[in-house]
Amino acid sequence: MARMIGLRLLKLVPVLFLVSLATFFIVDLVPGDPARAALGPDATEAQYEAVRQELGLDASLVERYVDWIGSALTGDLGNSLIKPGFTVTELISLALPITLQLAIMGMLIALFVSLPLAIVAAYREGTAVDRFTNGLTAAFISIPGFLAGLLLAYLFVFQPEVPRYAWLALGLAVACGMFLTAARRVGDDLGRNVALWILAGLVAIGVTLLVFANFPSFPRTGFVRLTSERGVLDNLRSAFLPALTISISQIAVFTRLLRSDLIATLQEDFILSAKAKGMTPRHILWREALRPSSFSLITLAGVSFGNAIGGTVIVESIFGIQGVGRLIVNDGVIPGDYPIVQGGVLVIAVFYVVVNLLVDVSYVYLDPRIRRG
Amino acid sequence: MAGTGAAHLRDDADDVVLRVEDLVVEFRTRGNQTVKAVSGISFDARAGETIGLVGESGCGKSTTGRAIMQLPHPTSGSIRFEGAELTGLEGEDLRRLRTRLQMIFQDPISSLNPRRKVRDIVAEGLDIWRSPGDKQQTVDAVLENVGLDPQMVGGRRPHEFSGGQCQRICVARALVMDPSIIICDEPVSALDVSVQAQILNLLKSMKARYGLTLIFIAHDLAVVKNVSDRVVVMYLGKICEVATPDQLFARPRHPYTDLLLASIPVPDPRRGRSERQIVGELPSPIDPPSGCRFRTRCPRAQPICATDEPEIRPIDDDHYVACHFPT
Amino acid sequence: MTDRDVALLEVSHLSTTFETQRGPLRAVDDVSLQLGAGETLGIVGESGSGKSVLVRSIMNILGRRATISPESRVVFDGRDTRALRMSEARHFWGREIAMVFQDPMTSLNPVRKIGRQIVEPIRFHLGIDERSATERAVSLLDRVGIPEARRRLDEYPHQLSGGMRQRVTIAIAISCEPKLLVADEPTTALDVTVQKQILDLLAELQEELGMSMILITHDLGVVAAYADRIAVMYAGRIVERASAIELFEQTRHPYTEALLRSIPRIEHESHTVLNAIRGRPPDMTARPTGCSFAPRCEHARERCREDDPRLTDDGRGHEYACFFPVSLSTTTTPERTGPAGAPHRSPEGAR
Repeated sequence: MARMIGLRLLKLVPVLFLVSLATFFIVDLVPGDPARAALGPDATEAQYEAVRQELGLDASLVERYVDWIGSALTGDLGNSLIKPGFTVTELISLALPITLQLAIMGMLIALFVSLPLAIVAAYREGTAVDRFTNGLTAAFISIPGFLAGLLLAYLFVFQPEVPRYAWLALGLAVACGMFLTAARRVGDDLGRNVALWILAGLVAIGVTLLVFANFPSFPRTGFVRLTSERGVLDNLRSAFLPALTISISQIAVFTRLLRSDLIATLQEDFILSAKAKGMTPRHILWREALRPSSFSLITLAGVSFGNAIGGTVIVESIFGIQGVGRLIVNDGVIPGDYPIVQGGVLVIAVFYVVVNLLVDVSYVYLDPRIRRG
Repeated sequence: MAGTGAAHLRDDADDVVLRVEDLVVEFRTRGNQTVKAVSGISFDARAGETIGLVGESGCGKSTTGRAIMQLPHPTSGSIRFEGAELTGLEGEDLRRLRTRLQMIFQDPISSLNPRRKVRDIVAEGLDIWRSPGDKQQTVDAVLENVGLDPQMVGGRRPHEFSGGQCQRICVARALVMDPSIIICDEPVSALDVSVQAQILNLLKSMKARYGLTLIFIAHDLAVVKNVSDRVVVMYLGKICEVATPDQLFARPRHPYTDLLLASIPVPDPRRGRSERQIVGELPSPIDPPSGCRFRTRCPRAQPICATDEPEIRPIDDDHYVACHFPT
Repeated sequence: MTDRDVALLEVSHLSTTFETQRGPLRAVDDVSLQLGAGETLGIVGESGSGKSVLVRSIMNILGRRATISPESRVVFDGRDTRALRMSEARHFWGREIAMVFQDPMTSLNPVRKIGRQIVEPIRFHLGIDERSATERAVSLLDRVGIPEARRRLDEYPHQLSGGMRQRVTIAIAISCEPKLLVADEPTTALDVTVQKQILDLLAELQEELGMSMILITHDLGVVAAYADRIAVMYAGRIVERASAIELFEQTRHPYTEALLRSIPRIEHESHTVLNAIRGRPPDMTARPTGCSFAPRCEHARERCREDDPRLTDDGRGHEYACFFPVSLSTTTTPERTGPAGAPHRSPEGAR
């Protein structure tokens, strides 16, 4: 196992080399002259030549690449052209934690919602629950990201009573479901189960009411850093809406994918044989069916996570957050500050590659059949 | 079990259309190990004969069938077909010769393109190799010969047919090329019991009508016995025994053939089950046993079986066996 | 044969219907059967005959698309299994009745260790601790002939051969010493020599544990050698049922007879003509009126296409569903063609 991961890491080296090469040269091909961008329109020809030399733009492409990648390996991604005094490394290290937190939270919310949803839908394939899930995810998929963000901002910031009461209704519905299950189990001689379901229902009601009474207010814009003295709760409050926005489309695709894979797995002989062994539905779904059904989900989750790191510029703009996406677009591409673009894209690429490595490693964990060789 | 040795091959004068000599097929695994699928087997087929290749999974019978078609090219050995050496052929020459060698597979449904109409499936070979001319007529005639009504089935697609009918379509697709040999790889094992006999009878009558030679590959001994003129028993990439079916099954001389026969449940309750104990599992073809490959499971094995590989030798009239201690 | 009065399993009027795009499909149609303690019942039929659906209905493991009709009753050891309470059902399936499936490649979970797959049901049903369950698992694997049993617990199914995997599924099935073992085509995916090993093992275990067994197969040879009584299924119904010897020697139903005559037999000479059954089984969503086998039957007459023959006992425990049963004197003498296979029969059937 360790050897395999080592081998994979080794294989990453050429991949990262190619990525850095592509990053560097593609940015170089983009029209616009960095020296002019740095100087502004009123500079003289002599000043222009001086800056070109200072930036090393008179050297050959290969020399410049070697220079750039050499420094990048030591953590130095060069200086910003437009924000004097800032290094690209500093700018990225300010933006990256925010983006990472949003991506991770979005992923967690998406998995937390879609896993149970998909399992219930697959188990009750063709029933009302399944059709409801289908409709819900269809709606989620068809909402464009910016609309979802604006909608959530509108609801949670300007009409907070709507999500508050929706929460209450949802929580009470879940609790009712638990009580109903308990009622159906009455007369069953395993009284233990009835008690457990009643207890679960009471806990659900308690949690629902507690959150309902202290329903948090969410900021329209801005981000409180995890490390700031305002504390974790403020940080979570400021991250919640953007993370939820990111998770909306993920919830939809994760649920649909896992549901269809689970339905296929539930047709397998080993599921029939688990049923014939008298195993409970819970055992069958969680222990037997989930793991062999999760390969495509893991692949997709990896890709989504990569996207969330690189492509959340819209969400960041809506909620006024200074993440990597906005850094690259607003501070890099638009003003022509090319070291920011190069550095930002390189960092995102590295994350993509690493996440894919994790996905590959998780396959090995999930499927013993590919452990050989 | 040797297989090395060619005592059972017959003279070219006896209108031998296919002669396989010392065929070796090896594959590389991902872990860079060598799977010895077929290790030096020889056999021949006369015109109009049905040669049955029989054995359990892993014996190399299907690999042998594919190697004759050069799918893939064998590792070494010679395959002479109608006087021409197939092993060295490439490209156009090979493809042209392959039309005279047709193949029928185990799963008829998946070996037919689900998106094409039956008539087009059957005509495909003609489109490539023959002038258009009376193509339509040829296809209709062949469909009729395999027991399908061209008007009824021609325009339909494979999924509308049962397994047995799909196998008829496969037979038609092979026959339309006017082959001299058809290699049948487990042609009835995916079919229902009541349909198997239809297909077996069809193959027999097509063989007579078109003057075919059949290489019939199967794991079911009763089926092989029913259709074959000569049976080759294989185990782990080697030949154990070669004989006419009646002789082979009446008096098996190789301990493996004997074991196979004892394992078949006979549809006769008075016979009961045979008391024979069967020991062991099939060894790995990556690291087959030394000497006779069957020795690890053989009740008659002696020390010599581990060191010396038995050669195929005649033991009776037209009956050959590769064993140091035949029964 | 055992006394019918003390039947361990009694199935009556079982019907199972699937909802399909082409309408309802009655895969099992009003089947009744009894099984005594220690007895082996063989159920023979082709694919689509309903034999697998029948036992899956008995085991209650069919999915949502299948409906078992309300008049169906499955009584096991005096208990109506269709009315079991959840707490009873929980330790009924897998403990009282266990099942072995056709393909050992797919009936074990590919991503879970063999140890977990055998220990979990043992702990679940017998409520014993991990350690004793593991010990039990080792001795079970040992009992079904798996070498180095303890080491296997940490292996995954793909590391074993097909025969070994089927031994594992058998070990799991017998782990709680069930009274009835249902084996659904347990050897169809295996080689002949392995098939014999597995069937012999099942027969041995049956004797040792005093189990009853339902053995489903399409292979007449398998039931002949391993079943006490045999039921032949066609198009969702039992068409003939008798003791093994009766069924083979005094075949009454034309379908059974035709099947027996169509299979190649090892004891017949080579090139024996096979009497193929023409046509193919009926479309179950549009079953013909009258006897389902009539369109393929050589003896069918007018009445067979109008009336539906019921399964009736001839008074000696031999049941068949046919108006014009095969007369007992019929003996089949195999014909033979020339050695190189001269033409003997035009291809018939399928249109």
